[in-house]
Amino acid sequence: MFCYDWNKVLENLNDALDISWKGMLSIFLAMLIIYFVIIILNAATKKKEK
Amino acid sequence: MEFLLEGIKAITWQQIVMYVVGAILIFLAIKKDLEPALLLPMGFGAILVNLPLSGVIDQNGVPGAIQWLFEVGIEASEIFPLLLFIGIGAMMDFGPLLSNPKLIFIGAAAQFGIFVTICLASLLGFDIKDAASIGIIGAADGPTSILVSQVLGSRYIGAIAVAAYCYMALVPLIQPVVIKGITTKKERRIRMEYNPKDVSKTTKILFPIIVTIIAGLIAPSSVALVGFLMFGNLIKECGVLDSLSETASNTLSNLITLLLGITISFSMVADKFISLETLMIICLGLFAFIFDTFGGVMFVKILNIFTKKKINPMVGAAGISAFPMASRVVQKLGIKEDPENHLLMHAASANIAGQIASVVVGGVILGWF
Repeated sequence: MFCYDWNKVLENLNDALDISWKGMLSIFLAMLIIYFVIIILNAATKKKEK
Repeated sequence: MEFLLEGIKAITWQQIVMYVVGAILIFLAIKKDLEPALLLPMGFGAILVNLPLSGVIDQNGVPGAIQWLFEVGIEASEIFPLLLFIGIGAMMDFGPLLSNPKLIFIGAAAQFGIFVTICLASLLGFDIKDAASIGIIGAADGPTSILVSQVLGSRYIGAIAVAAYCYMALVPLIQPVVIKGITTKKERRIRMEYNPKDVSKTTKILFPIIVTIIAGLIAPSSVALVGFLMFGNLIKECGVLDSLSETASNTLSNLITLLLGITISFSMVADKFISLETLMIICLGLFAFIFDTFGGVMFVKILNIFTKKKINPMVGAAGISAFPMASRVVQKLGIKEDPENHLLMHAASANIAGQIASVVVGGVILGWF
């Protein structure tokens, strides 16, 4: 719901900031893991091919 | 004869505004070729659901066809956007990303707009769940926007879907302005070598399975999104289900797109849609796309400070999910600055990373609540 209550806005903004930094961190961590998966998969299959 | 005038007497000015909105969406779809597969059904649906005493909403006390489609296909199980993900997965080729994985982080950086928009929407007075639903417009991924806003119970799902699809179609207009505003001519001329590595079939088969498991373990709420996307891709890459892959990427995705557009129009009923909030959501959606582009480009610029082999900052803009529009925008701008600077394959890698990142972010946000 849309609200104009300043206290509620501040509370929502706090939650939003919390989601934001944790969200950005989670997405970078997820991508880091996927990056390592790709590196390992590429290395493993290359070795097998050789 | 009174019953013949019932409909005309019941018409409101808000419904007339919605006919205009519907007509604009149809015009954009047909004349401007902006996401016609979605905007045309949505535009027609906007007119359909706003006809007075509309039988597609309520048929003598029984749910009408569009209400039923919405309740079954979106409200009850979110099955429409999820089925569409099977089709998208079957169309996707992870090859460019698998052969050039270092650009995967651009996909993460270009989700920046989502979170900035969540903060701004909260500041403007939206409830945190609505703010999160509005922020996800920045995923540049229609089905994810619809799914997240539906699961979070946002009543602005109609406005969110319209904004998401409109801005996805407007990527070729939005991104060049932002890119040119935050990069120098010299930066836009940075050349990048392209030395693709061979990617084995085993890697292509194992990748969707492993990513699904990882996403499921890190963000369990993303399993539906990531799982259906990767399932579609696995059907394509396994090499033994060609006819299923063909069906998923063509027939299934066309059928679901057709139904999804007209079903979403259920949330475009005049009394829900015409409000100041809708206007704010449209503006916030644009803000999300601008900051996605900003996030991707600035990430590459920061990365370039620490690396020897420079990446063209424009590639950062391709880290959003809108595939292949974002890649094409970068390629076009690259060629404009230097006719021999071909950035398409690098941009495609970032773009595919953006597609994965957007569904993971959708899951992360769902997992938060």
